Amino acid sequence: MIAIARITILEALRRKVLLSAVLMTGAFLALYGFFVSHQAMTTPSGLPTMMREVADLDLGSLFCYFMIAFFAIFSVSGSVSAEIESGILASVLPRPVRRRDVVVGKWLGFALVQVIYVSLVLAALMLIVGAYDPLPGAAHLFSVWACFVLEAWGLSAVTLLGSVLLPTLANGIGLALWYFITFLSGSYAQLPFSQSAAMRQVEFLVALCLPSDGLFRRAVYELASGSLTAVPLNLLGPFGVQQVPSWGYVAYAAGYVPVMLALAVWAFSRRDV
Amino acid sequence: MVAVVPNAIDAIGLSKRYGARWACRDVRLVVKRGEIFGFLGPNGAGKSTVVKILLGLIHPTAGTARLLGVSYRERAVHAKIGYLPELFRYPPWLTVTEVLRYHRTLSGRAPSGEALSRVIEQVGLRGREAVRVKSLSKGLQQRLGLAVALVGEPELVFLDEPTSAMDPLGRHEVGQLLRDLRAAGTTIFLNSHLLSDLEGLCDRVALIRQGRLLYTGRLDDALGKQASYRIGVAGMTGECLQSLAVQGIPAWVEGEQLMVASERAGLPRVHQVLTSHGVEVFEVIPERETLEDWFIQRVGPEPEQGVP
Repeated sequence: MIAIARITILEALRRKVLLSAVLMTGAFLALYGFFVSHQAMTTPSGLPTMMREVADLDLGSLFCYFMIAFFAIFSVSGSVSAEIESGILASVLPRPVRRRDVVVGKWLGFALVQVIYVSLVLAALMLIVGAYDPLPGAAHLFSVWACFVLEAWGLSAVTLLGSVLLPTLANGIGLALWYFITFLSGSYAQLPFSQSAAMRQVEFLVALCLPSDGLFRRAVYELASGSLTAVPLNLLGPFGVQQVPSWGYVAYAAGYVPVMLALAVWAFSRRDV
Repeated sequence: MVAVVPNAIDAIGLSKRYGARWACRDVRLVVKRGEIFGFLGPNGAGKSTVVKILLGLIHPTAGTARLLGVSYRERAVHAKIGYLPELFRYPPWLTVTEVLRYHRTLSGRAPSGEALSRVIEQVGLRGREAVRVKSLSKGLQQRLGLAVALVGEPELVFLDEPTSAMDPLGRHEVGQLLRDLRAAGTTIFLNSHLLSDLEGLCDRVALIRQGRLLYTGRLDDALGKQASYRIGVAGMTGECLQSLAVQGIPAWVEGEQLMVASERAGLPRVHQVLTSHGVEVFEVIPERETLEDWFIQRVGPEPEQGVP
């Protein structure tokens, strides 16, 4: 398992997966930094400043949310299927290696790379915002970090399951669309006119199937409540937080990871290679 | 009490069905320890399916197998097995040494530099240790595949078309390597379409067609005993031919050569008759059915239906 995780990390480094993600993230951060500094220089002090800070953090976290998802989905989407298609796994599986070790080892490798990526992105974001405004406390920042790490881990686990079941392209496109459906559902739920019981139930079911959006809302809440509790988060419209996802939901998202991994292991153990 | 050494492979009733089509059906194989076993068949006959079942890559519809005396489902026995797939691919971003270290680790052995160096030498990749896989030619990648199959010091090696991408020199070197492995006690299960390579190499062969085994046995038995010789002669006479006929040796002349229908044991007598008539002998060429003749004769044109 460790050997597989190690080779997965090496692949992310050698194939420049992490590097290209970091470079593109850097390009965004430059633009974001310009935007934040421009806002800081042109906005007068008082309540609008608080609004501005929350808006900056919300925009930043939205960016994190998307980048982390793209990174998780597209780096993992071919991890099993592409290696089956190319024949690489045909020389690995006859070894005294359990298929469980292959799936979990790959996930561990990706999980570690994602922790590095999430940490770098969040650190850069906080440096930019912190240059102009006070930052949320350490506990809130850790919660934000944990939410985004869980987002990456959950997406990579479910993408790994898809990679066992589907060809690479179908898995990547399917997961990306599913992710956006979850985001749209979560965004719709923030609007004042979408509060009927039936809609709530649908949104809840969607949030259970893929808990990425709920984690994003919790991260936004942690950022905003940690800095400016007086600002109502529903003012941020579809990118705000009407109902804060509970810690119970975050725990569900954490439990989602091993369940998806277990399903991936089960599906892979039954698959012909 | 003499300990019984289990066969390298004991497969019973291996079958795999995809929908209505049987990729292989009721395949029974016994491969003894220390032999080179050739597994022959036309494209799509089910050779790779059988190998993949034995390696645990494909789940059989029916049947079971023991490898080195242990159920093929036991992961531990796979530490003693090496495999070169027909479609050999290794992570292109790794170097030769990294691929071998990775596979040796997966086989449960410590990736010692000495072991890696030995196998690199064996397959002729010396000097390319630090080259990335993507920079290797197809033939060199196949040598790497061979090294990967051997890096775990296996007792049983499955090689699927091990020389398909190699030049004649490479094929010759691999042939010699396989003989050396056999001499060291390694069992080799060989899938190949290069029948001329197999002919001089295999102890026993099996022929599979449309998922069913048609023949399993020794190569010599498959090809039959030597039945005739083509002898290059000078000074052949009618009296000499008559003398051969009197001795009960059917013989006839084809151009400058004398054809003799005789087993190997009868050759000294033929030579004696020829020299007694002053006939000079320059060469003796065995005329026998080749593996290719045997293969084509038995496989013939493919019926259109699948295995019934």
